[in-house]
Amino acid sequence: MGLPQLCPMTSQELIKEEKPLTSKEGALRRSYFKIQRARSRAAFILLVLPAILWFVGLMLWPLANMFYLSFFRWDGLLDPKIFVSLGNYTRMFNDEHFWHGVANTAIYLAVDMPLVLLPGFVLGFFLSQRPPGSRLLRVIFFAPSMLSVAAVSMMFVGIYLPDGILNTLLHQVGLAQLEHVWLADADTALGAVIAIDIWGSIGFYSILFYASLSNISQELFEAARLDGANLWDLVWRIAFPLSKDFFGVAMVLNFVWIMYGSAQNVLILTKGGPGDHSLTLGYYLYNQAFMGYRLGYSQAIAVFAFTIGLLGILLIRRITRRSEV
Amino acid sequence: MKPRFSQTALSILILVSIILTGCAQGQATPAAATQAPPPAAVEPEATDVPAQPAAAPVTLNIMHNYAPDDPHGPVLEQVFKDFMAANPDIKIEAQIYSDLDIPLKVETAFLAGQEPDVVFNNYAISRDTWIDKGVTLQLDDLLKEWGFDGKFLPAALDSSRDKQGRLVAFPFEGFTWPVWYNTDIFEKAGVEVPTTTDELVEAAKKIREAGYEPFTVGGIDWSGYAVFTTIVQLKLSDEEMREVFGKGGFAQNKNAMEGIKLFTELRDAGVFAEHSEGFQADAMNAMFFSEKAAMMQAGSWAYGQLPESMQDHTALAGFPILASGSPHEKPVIYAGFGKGVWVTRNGGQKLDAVRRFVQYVYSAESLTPFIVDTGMPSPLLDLQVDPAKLSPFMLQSTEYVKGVTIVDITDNYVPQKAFDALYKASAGAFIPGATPEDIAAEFDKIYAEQQ
Repeated sequence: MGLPQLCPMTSQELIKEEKPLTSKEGALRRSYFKIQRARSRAAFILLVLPAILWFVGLMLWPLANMFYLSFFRWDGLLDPKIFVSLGNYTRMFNDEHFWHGVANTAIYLAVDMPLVLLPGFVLGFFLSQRPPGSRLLRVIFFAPSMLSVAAVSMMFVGIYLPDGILNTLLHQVGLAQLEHVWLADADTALGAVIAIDIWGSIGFYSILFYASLSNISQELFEAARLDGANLWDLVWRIAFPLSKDFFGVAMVLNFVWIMYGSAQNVLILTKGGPGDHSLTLGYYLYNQAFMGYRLGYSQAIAVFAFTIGLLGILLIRRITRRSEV
Repeated sequence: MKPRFSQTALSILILVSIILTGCAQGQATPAAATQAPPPAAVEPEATDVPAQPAAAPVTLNIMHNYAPDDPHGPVLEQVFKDFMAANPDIKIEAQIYSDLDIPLKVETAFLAGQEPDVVFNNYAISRDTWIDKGVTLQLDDLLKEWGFDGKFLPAALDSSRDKQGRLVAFPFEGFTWPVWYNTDIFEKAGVEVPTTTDELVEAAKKIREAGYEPFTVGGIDWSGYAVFTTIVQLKLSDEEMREVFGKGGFAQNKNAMEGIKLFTELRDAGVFAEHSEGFQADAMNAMFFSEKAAMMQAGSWAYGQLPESMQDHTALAGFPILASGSPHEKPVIYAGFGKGVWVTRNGGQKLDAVRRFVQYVYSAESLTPFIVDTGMPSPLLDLQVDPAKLSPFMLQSTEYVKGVTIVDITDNYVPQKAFDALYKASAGAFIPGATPEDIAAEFDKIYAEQQ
């Protein structure tokens, strides 16, 4: 608005101007660019400020509170907070239920991640080759992701019942000795919960991988085939290295889900039992906060889970970082 | 480098947001008192139901746990409808949550100034805290002002008072908590319904041989905790129970240790259904109602769920006692009043509408269907229900109590915020191999943490 008075020439005219500038013209030019920079900075701040406020208010502030509250004994929303220093952490490291949760979560991660991501990748590759019926298959693969956790859990309750579908099937094929009360047996409860997660996740990740692998030129695979590459080579020696970065992102998503989100299945199906046999860290955190009225202690567990989650993410990113070509 | 950084940052954001997310679920928990339910045979009586209209249209927010699949649910829903029809200036908006979730829901809403006006809530967790925190009103004065003085059973009122003797809620749902016996299965196994623990072990053996599970229980939750405490109490007088369950010290108490030992002996003798340690109360009910198990311990709140086809061969009785050396004379049950109608701070702002609703709930026409359809013991002294209206099973439920000893329930004495930890400890007791010493140590640890 005030620019014409300050600088009658356009910026391009200014750049093209070859004759030496007088000191007044130089000052005008510097002033013009200074104002431009200030305007641009102000616009940038105005544009990102809402996002920054949102992030600080809704993400960082509660996160900081999580750390803060972990130093207090707080036995209910209406109860006073009592500073206990590292008391919650001392208690946590001496709590056998907590360690059972850590161990079960480690088992969960070790079993679930490879059994979800590797088949998911192969299926994603298969879809990316656009076989006949691939559109229908994509819908079928993605369908479990559209079911709520409660609906899936109730479906599997029916499958796992003592006289449910699974035991009936085992009985009918002559494997009656393998029948179990799946969710109530200490030997099978955690596995039964993990199996539900695997069932629901493979299709979801296959669609993610399909989306990523679709960006790779089919000519590359054709060329590899002409060079004698077999299916294994196409999947693991060509497609996988090219989408290693994306595989890392998928690993992170799966890792985060298992660490925290899988608590829902445990809550609905086993409540961590029998004993602590299916207790996971995520469920224990929930349990202590909302059932046990130990809000401060639950935040200490949350800090631990957050730290492990952060380290896990960094480790995954480091492992799956694609070498620069 | 930048894309990697942003992907990592995105992942961290997702992680943070998931951490900050919470959810909740739970199951019904009984709590209670010390007296048997009243006989359902007194003169019909209705409380006064004034029909004075409120000054302006009012919405009453009412929180309760009577879901549509709960036998109480349709009855309460009908009460709401009838009340609104009779009081067109009052609208009821109901919120339904499980028993265990209600205290947290109310407290969270209270902090936001949005708590419901009236809450049907168990006493166990909130009895000694809500009045002092200002969440709910002390009701002693309203008891008189609203015409309820002398109307409630004394035992029901006692259960509804906090440690300082203040009335926290109007007593509503009473309960008895017997053992249910499928007499058909006992007949097939060739054994009688047991009255002693020795007979129980023998019966369990025969029942297994006949191809049925003996005693089904939700070992993981409150139903397992109740079975565990019932058995421990076979060795404890009520005074000892109050001491041990109130303050801990299981390992040092000889009788408590003997009670826990008795529990492990029954467990190891195969009295409980296989894998009971992993069942929840729903699974317990399903196993009994599908006639796969011969016994379960379940409260009167489940009477309405008994299939019609089982009513003629389901007997109610107490938990078998020791053949000798028991402080109790007959098989034992819990009974009392565990749930009341609480009026909150917000309810205090629309007291006239709340009064009209509460008085309507305690009228004979509202309360009778609860007694007839759900087997709920009446909290009122002189509410009479015609026995002819009761099904044979419901009739039985009012009469079997003559043959049992009612023992004091532990819920009234344990630290209010220790319930979940105690359920977890009793769940551990159901796992084969858990020794009495391990179990006692786990319980004592919970009490130490409450200090």
